[in-house]
Amino acid sequence: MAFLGFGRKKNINTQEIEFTGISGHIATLKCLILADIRGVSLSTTLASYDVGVDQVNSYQYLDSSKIVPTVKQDDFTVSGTHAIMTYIDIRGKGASLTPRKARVLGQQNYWIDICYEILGPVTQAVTTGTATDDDKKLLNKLLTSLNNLLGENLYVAGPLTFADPHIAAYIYALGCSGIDMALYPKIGDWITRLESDMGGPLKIEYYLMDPSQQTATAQVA
Amino acid sequence: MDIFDQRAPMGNVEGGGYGSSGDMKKTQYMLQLLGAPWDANTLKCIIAAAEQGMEIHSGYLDILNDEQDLESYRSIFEFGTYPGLKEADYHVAGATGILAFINARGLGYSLTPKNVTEAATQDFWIDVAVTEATPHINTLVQEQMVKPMIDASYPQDKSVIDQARVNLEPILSALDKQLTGKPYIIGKYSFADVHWTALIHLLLLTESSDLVQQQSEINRWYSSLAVRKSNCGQSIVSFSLLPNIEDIKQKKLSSVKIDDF
Repeated sequence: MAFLGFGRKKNINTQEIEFTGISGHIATLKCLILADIRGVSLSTTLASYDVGVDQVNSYQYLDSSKIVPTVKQDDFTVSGTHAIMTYIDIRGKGASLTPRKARVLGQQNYWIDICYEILGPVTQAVTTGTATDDDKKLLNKLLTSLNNLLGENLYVAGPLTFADPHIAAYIYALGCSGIDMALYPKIGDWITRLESDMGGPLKIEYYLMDPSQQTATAQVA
Repeated sequence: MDIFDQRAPMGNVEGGGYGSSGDMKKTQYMLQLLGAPWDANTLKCIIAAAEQGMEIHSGYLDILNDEQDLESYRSIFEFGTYPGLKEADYHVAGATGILAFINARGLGYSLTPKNVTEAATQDFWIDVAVTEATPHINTLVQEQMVKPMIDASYPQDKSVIDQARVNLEPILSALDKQLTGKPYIIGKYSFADVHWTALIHLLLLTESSDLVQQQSEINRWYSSLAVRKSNCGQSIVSFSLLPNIEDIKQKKLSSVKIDDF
């Protein structure tokens, strides 16, 4: 007599998770880092995009109907970093990265907000070679703050949370764009910890940043 | 006394006010919020607090005059992000952090769905609100409401307004289509509704309200929110706390008061 797995949900998904992103795209990279952390296998297609990569927003249009990043599994399709990271996290192994404590949740999301409001625009400027002195000062302030925080915490919000793959994607991009990350050793230590959680350094083809690329213009649905 | 206590004082809560005495139960935390009545992110926090039965004392942060750069604010929030929230010795800034904090602290069931596809769909519609709709709605709010409010002779930039209207139309049509056959954006009430309620409310206060009025499903959904009791089961309607034009002119933000705790 067979017993059903007590307390386990039946896995009704039969198809692999198809993931589409673009090379050199931070929103794409966030999803790939999280998938590595959560042990989720993705069938990944990375397109190159010759109009420009948007490093500020959580998704961008390739044409009037195609958005990246996007995941598809069975008959479900969803786009955008937030939605995809939620999907991957729940599909992942072990405990969710969503913190249970309210204060940790708040801190996790505070840093995710900082990513979109400050780190994204500054990284866009740095990776396209258009950063002003003010941009560079702001970036240094932010990285110094993060370095100090990671001197106290193992991860950005204390425990490993969504804030970590979010911020790590910018750190990878900045490191590939000539920013001397050796000035921020605690950030380097944290990246090493994250890569250990991922089972090794990021296993994706990465990261051809072309300084001549301009910000892609978001198109409407 | 910090900037929260100056701008959003707790007041005299002696005599049995919410959370003023007794054992600090989950219902009894008191929050202080700093933001602006024309800032959608501030309104999202007020909506979420009412939905989750969390009392909030709200205060005005004059972002028109860059008060987010004041030392008294930056000493708490290094990068000047807003709105800002305080709970005793804890501070968090930005709508994303505040909403998650309130949701976890609050009384009602979580506004984030447990089902994976519903949760992801919610996040997609939040992303559409933040990434695509917000920049254009902010443009209309600034051009048609805030700047004329500050300076009655302000000449609205018609080309900027027209472009924002053109960009918004397909986004609102997509939301209208998503709402077809559903009481709320993903079916059940979620954070997607919180985000869009704040945006649609502000848009309706501008001279571009016709963009909403021509979308029947958005109108139906928005009207239903006006009488919807909160998620936490208490007798408060979050919609009733949203500012009208006079509130905005007076730079007045509603606080969330829970009477039936």
